[in-house]
Amino acid sequence: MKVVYSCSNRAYPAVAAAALHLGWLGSNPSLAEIAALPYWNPAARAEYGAPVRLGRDEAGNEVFVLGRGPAGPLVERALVSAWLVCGQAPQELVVVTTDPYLNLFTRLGAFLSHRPALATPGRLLVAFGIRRSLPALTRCVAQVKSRTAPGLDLARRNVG
Amino acid sequence: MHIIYHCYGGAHSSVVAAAIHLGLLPLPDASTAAVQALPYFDLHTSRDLGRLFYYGTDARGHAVFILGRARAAAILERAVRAGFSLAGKKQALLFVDTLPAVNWWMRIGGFLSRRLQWVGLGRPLVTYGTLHALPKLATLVRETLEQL
Repeated sequence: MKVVYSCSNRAYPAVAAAALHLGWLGSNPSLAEIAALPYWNPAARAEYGAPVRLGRDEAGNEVFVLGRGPAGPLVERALVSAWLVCGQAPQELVVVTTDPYLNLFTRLGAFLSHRPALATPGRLLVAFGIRRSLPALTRCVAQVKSRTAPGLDLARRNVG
Repeated sequence: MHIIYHCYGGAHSSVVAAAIHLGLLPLPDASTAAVQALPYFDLHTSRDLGRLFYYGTDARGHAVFILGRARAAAILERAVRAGFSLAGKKQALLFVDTLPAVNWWMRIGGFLSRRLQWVGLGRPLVTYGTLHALPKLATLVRETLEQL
């Protein structure tokens, strides 16, 4: 099974969710730990739409992060419809939008981090915002994992 | 190879190009009724943007699809390619942008019919525009076929 965490820039909430999924973040990580996650910085425009593999979880599911860019939900539709055209089972590809987990701190930090003089405080503010979102992101990841856990029958997966 | 004809809404020029590719439209004298009777013509809504729709398989075995991609052609091309790649399919894909063949009648008619849902006004306009765009669309398809 493939799990794709998406957000607008393929950065903060998607990377944090993927890191939680893969067990890279503890229950109370420091700001530095969060900011040091791979692919923490936003993707370039030319990378929008292409998922990046971050790793494989303990159940063998591959975990990806994806930047949607200005195309928004169309990216997920295109990804999923291509998957289905290939004859793959719909439940084998889980795409999770993490934009709802962006908060004011993360948005403001992302805005500031684009200014060279304010990049460092901006990045810390982003990490602070993500740390505040971690409980919600953890619940989201737990829900995803309950859908992707091996041994569940199809009916249970569909309920999730 | 899979051929994906794409335009803004996936409702007009990409549909007609796919139909020409598959020989579903009698050229050069296609009628209004023939254009309007094409599968998916002037049907897709904003909820269909980003989705691949299978249109048929040509005589050489190439599957033909249509795609509405709004203003995000490059991003959606990457996403479609990624979907095939995630599925483990090393499928050759050819993306053909049909928007250069679109004229103002089609833009205005398509906007009225699809965006505003004024189908009674928009559909005749977009069909009129499509009939005028047929030579360009036929050329586009011929160039596509030459690439295969």
